[in-house]
Amino acid sequence: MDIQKQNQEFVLGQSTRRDFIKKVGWGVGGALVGSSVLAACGADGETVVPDTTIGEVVPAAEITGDVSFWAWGAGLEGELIGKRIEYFKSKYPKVNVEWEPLAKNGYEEYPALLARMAAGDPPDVMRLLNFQPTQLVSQGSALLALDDYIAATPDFDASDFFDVGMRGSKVDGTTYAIPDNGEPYYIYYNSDAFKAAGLDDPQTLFQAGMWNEEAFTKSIDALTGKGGMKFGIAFEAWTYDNFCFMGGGTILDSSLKATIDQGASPAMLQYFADLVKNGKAPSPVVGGGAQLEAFRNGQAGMYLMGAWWGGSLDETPPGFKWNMTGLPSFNGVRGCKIEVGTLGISSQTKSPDAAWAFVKTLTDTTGMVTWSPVATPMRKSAIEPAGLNKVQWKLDHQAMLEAASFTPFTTKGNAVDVAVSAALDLMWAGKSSAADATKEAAKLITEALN
Amino acid sequence: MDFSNLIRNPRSSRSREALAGYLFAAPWLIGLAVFQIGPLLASFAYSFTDYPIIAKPKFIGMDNYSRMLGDKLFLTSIRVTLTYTVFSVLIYVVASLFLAMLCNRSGQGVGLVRLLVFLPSLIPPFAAAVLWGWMFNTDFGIVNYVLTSIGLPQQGFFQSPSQALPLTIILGFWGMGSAFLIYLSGLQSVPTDLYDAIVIDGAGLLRKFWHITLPMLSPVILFNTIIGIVISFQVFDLAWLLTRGGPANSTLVWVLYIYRTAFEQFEMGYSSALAVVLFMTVALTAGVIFRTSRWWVYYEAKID
Amino acid sequence: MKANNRSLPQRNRNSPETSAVYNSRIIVALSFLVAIIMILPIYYMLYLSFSARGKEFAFPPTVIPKPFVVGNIVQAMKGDTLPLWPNFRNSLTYAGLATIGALLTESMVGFAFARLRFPGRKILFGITVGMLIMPFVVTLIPRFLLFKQFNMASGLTPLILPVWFGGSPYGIFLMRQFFMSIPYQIDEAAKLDGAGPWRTLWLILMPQALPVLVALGMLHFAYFWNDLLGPLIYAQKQDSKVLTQGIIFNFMSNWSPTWNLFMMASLLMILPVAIVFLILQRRFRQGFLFSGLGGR
Repeated sequence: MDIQKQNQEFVLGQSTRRDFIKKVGWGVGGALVGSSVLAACGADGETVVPDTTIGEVVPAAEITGDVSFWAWGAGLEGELIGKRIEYFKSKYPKVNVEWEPLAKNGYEEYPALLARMAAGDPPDVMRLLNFQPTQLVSQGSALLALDDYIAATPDFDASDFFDVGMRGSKVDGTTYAIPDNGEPYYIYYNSDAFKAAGLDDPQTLFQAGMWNEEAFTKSIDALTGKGGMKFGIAFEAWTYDNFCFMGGGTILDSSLKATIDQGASPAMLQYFADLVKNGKAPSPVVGGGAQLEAFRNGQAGMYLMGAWWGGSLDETPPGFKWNMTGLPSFNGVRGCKIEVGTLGISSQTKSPDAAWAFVKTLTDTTGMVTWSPVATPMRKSAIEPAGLNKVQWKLDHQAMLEAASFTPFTTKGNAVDVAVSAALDLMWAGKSSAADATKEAAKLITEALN
Repeated sequence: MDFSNLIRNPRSSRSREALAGYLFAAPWLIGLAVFQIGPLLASFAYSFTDYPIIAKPKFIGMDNYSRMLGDKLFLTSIRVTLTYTVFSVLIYVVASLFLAMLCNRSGQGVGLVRLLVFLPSLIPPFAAAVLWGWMFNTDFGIVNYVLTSIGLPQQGFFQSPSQALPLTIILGFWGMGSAFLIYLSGLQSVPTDLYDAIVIDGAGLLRKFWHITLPMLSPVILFNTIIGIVISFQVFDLAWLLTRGGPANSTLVWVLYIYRTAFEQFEMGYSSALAVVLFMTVALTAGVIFRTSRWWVYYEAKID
Repeated sequence: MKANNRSLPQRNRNSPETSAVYNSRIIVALSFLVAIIMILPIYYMLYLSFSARGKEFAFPPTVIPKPFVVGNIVQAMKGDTLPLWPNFRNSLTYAGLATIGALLTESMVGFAFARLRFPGRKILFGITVGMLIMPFVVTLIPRFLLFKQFNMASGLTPLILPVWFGGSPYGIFLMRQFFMSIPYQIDEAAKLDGAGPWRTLWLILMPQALPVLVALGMLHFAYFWNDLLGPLIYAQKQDSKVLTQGIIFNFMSNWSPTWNLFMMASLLMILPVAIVFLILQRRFRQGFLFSGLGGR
């Protein structure tokens, strides 16, 4: 084509290109400014606690405010939370409570919670899991310190709480949450199958102090041998703390140094890994409820799971008689993990008094008893009157709660869990010994925490 | 370059055309400026900070990027993602093409077959995870049940660090309904007269495919390839729901690692840096494919 | 040869492969083999959906669940804790509005990229594809903050609105590719008739694009229909929760998941989209779209 036309196009093209670059430049600049303004307008990290009437005595009926409650709870659990809220409203009629049950549990909904916090609009009261209070406080002071409130509430009675629950609610010695429920772990067992295999009842053994490694191993062998069951016991890999605690081992010590490769832990883990290797237990790694179903369908004689699960068995009974008992003691030691559930108040709440009233009411004796059918109460005074006709809440409960402990929480949330699980996966798959896997776990823990 | 356009489109109508272009693209431009660029730049900015989400970001310069170089898990996630991408794209681009061709006929039951090919991709991920988890359960799954009944050893599947990733890749086969659908509609848009012409010349199946179908479909193939690469690099749902990145981090895909660092470890700054690197990697790959596309993609009407 | 070069090339909705070869037994047999493979997960879903509570994973597995509980259908629709009907309505609103918005915007923008010359076209298109690449994880928080600034961070609006402004890069990309595969003669014919770009797009090119639009629309609808993460973050209030959330809340609780109802509900969730697909693709075969659009 014509050189002239070519040049024209080239020149035109260039000038319009220059214009365009200018436009883009302004656009990008504007966007940069805009986004930095947005980022700056994000959550204010300082805690601004509005006026509180701490120290003054205000009658319950006069307390006003709005409390938005962040909690999951479906089915029976949701019903009971609703009942506890009704109980609160009966005592504090002037407070507005807003509760939208979450679709998934607090672990899966964490991003939504964090997004709200980042935007400066957090819920007032939150139902929290294990590691969450420690992480929220140490990373962003997102929770309100409660010691002053506790001190100003004469009928709170902190000593009524189980020590392990209070410990799990503190960060560096300061209380940031109130224990809502604490679930130790139990062995659920098929009493029909035990009888058929000619074994002693585990609950009886436990109460006689004879539910130990020997009895446990004997049960597994008999259930799979004479009893003709496919598996002696089913358990899930993420409950690994139990396996260590049962024998007196630990994962971390109080200074947050990894101890999973020392003491009794490797041997305990090896014991359970061998169960899987020898086909006495199904694969614990992948969840989806397979292990639970194994127990329900009579494929496994025992199931190691938290206390909260007992109510589910009640709701939909399996086709056999079942019971539950504490974890067997290895090396003459009794121990189990406890899942600490707490209620925390946001440090940015606009109604601290109402929020505190809410928390303290839900966790008083009546509140705890109301929800004991689905949750293990953390108040000693709530144990006796506790839920429905469940023997298990009272049985061995005090014993297990006294033996219960938890791996110290860190600022890094569930990083320890993630690290240990990754290392132990190889062990469960039979590709590594417990000794090696725990060494690897210790290494990963140290890396994660530093 | 078609210079004849210069004659037909003098300066004024070209700027009118440019204006029209901007007007048509206006909703997108607005959306881009408001909903996309801002967050994108924010993420880029966060990558130079330490940002625990619930507290304000703190500037730390290039620390996140230098940390990446020594991060073993990061390297693991790259390896996992690359493996996943290479094989998934093959499935996504190639297998779905053959499936679409298989269904590009009118005959007995073709509607049903089309539906069945498309249907599995409609299963919501949270349900699919439960399904696959159970089907491939080591001890109780149907697949192992069938295998052991015919005498084969029981497989670890999602429990085994070596099998989990390949299995996840294979399961992607059921999710390619979208590529299939696009191919199908592309195939149905190919003008019949082209086929008629070549048949007159005595062409058989293979020549029809090679000379007509493939070139006419090449824009769609390019589309599916780019899309396939982009979405495989970003796979998250199945890995998260099925295995949470396990066992032993064998399914720790890049986006899962990004998610973990952001929402589990409260390290949004590092997470953003990881995302930026991911972004640049994918952009580079896509860019390369685009560049080379001028040699193998045929457009009926391409304006410069 | 065509005397009238304003005629449109024949775009046949029916595939040309109606010859004997393509309907040979091999192909048909292969099709059914593929169908069987594809149907495996759906079959398992059906199996679980009709199982009795607690017996879903009974081992060893049987071909048909024993007992076979037809009542699950009604039970799944009723919901366990909260009724699912409002969730269904919300999902329909969300997916429906979003799909319409997406198709409209994407056609316009795709057309602009394919047919209109404007400065920066290439760069902007690159940005389009680039947008596809940014993982949701890192844009989640900034976007949430942005919506909070405009005070619209709750409900379905933050989910639907951005779609009307730009749809998704996927759709823009696809429409561009599609428009580029249509010969320019059509546009020229329209131009000679005095049509500007607006009319060219809506009256001339869009009818051609119907199969692609339908396919794209289905994909968009399915995506929004199955979206969980977006609603999880933004649709916090009960009255804006969508079906995905509703199903998980009702049937997948930690406390006591009811797997059979969960599967049944998920299956029912797929049904609307599947039915629409069946209807639409049968329409393809009849080629109704093509009557009266010019000929030889």
